[in-house]
Amino acid sequence: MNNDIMIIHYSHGGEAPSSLGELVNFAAALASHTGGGVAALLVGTDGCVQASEAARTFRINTHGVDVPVSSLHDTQAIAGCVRDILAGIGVRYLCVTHDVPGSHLAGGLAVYLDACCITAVERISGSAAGIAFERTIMNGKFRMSAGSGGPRTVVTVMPGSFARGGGIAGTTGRGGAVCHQFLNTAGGIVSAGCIPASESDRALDEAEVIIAAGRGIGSRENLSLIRETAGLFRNAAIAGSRPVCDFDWLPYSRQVGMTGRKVSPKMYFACGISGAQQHIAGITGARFIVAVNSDPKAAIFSVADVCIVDDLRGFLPALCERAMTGGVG
Amino acid sequence: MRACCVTMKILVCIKQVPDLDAHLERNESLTWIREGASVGYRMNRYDEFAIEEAVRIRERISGTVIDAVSVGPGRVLSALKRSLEKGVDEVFHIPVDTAGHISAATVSWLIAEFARSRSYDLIVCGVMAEDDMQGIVGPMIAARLGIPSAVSILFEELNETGTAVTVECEVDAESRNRLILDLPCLLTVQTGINRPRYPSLSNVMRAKAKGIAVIDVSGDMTGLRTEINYGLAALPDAKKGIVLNGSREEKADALLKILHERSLL
Repeated sequence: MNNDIMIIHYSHGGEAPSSLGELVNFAAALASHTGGGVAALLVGTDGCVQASEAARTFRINTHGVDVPVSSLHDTQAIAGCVRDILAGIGVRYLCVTHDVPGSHLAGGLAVYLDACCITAVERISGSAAGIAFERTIMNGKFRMSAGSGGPRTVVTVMPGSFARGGGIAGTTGRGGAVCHQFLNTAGGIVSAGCIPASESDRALDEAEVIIAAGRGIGSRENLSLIRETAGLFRNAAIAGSRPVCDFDWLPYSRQVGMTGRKVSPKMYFACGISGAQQHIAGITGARFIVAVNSDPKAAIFSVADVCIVDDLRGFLPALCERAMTGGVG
Repeated sequence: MRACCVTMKILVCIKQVPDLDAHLERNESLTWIREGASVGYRMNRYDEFAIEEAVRIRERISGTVIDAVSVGPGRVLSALKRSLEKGVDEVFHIPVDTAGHISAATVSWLIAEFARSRSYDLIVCGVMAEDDMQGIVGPMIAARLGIPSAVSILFEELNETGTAVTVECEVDAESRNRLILDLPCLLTVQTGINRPRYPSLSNVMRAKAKGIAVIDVSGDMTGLRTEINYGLAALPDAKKGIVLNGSREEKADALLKILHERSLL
């Protein structure tokens, strides 16, 4: 069986812990259409160790490359290294996580390998024209279906779209792992270190309930409604979507989404959040989602367990008032 | 702060996107959204941060020139006019004969060919576009031009000799990486790096009189590997969970009941 699908797992330090498992499940779904096999290339400071572990866990052939800390965030150099490693391997599909470094890597790889690039894929389906890769666009209003326009394709996979566990059906053997040397042939970029947070804000990691504000709250003053609602719960923290943090209404340590925190509370209460894919990617670990939004077509309702179509500026005060007066009965 | 002894030539890449809050419908071929009077178009919000950062560099380094370029049908002229209002010096339109989907491969190829002979020191893009959120046009332009790139930057500082730029790239909500890139290079700018200003009256007046250069990018695109658009499906107004109905108080009571049942309250 040809390993015509190669997972490229890039451990850049900001990726979700589940990203490799999701890529494996995506690759398995893709393999069910291509009939080919799956291998993986693990890139990181301990890429070769990760490759050995992945070979045992998923029983697939793997490759690893140990990247020096000084080059870990030089994504172009990594793209060049991946290109060189793949030079002797026949691969039709390369699968990369759709986060900011992953998109950077995918864009470079597509050019270096003269490959087609299809991004933010959430589903795969077969069609008469070939394999269709599907992603939502326009803030969740439409699903675009795209096919590859070349013999080689780089696919970025939307976090949270595929299961995290499981493995490749039909693989019963023990995969082998090959360790490669990192060669930086790109040049032009020097790493000058990592800047950690001045103080750690673990509130969103520790909270059982997260009350999150989106642009729909309208103004900084309305954050008091979010805080008041959080006060109803024993262990709650408040969070926001990217625009709320860009407006300086909340610190970035409270931003939930692809470029912020990935949270997994018992309940996530989305208030005035439209539900763009970038935000949804941060709440796939939430066990129960409640959403209030004045737009009945808001994309957040497609993932919410409880949907409330209302103006949060009226609904949240009513909720707090009924909770305080024992309105439930 | 960099000394004002070296001028910079900056290119900002602009995308025009539909107003996503508007009611959008598919076109007749079901491959993209329908154009029409009911659909407003505006500059991609992420690109506003890219323009603002370029303007801030020009404020630090006198003599700096800022160009903006956009690929698209005739309507993108309004986005380019807007970039003039925001302080861009010269604007360039690369026309395409479609109002439908244009792949990132195509856009990046056209902009790279446009930029190749124009000796830009810095190319700046928004981190992604609001409509498709791909984030690959910038990296593809850099790879095509063979110049270094950094994405999702939240800080930049040019060195005194105009040969390199130090940037801080967002890793996650709390940590950043610092990179030093040789010029010329490409940066994609994350929101929050600055606070885009409203256009000044003088810039608005200047934009009215300013022409927009139309660029015919020559070259053979037949070998370009682009995705094939099979079409758009309108996502149904499907809600995954239960919908609470009734008066506001009834909905609040229903939610409280659910929260009690799940021992969340």
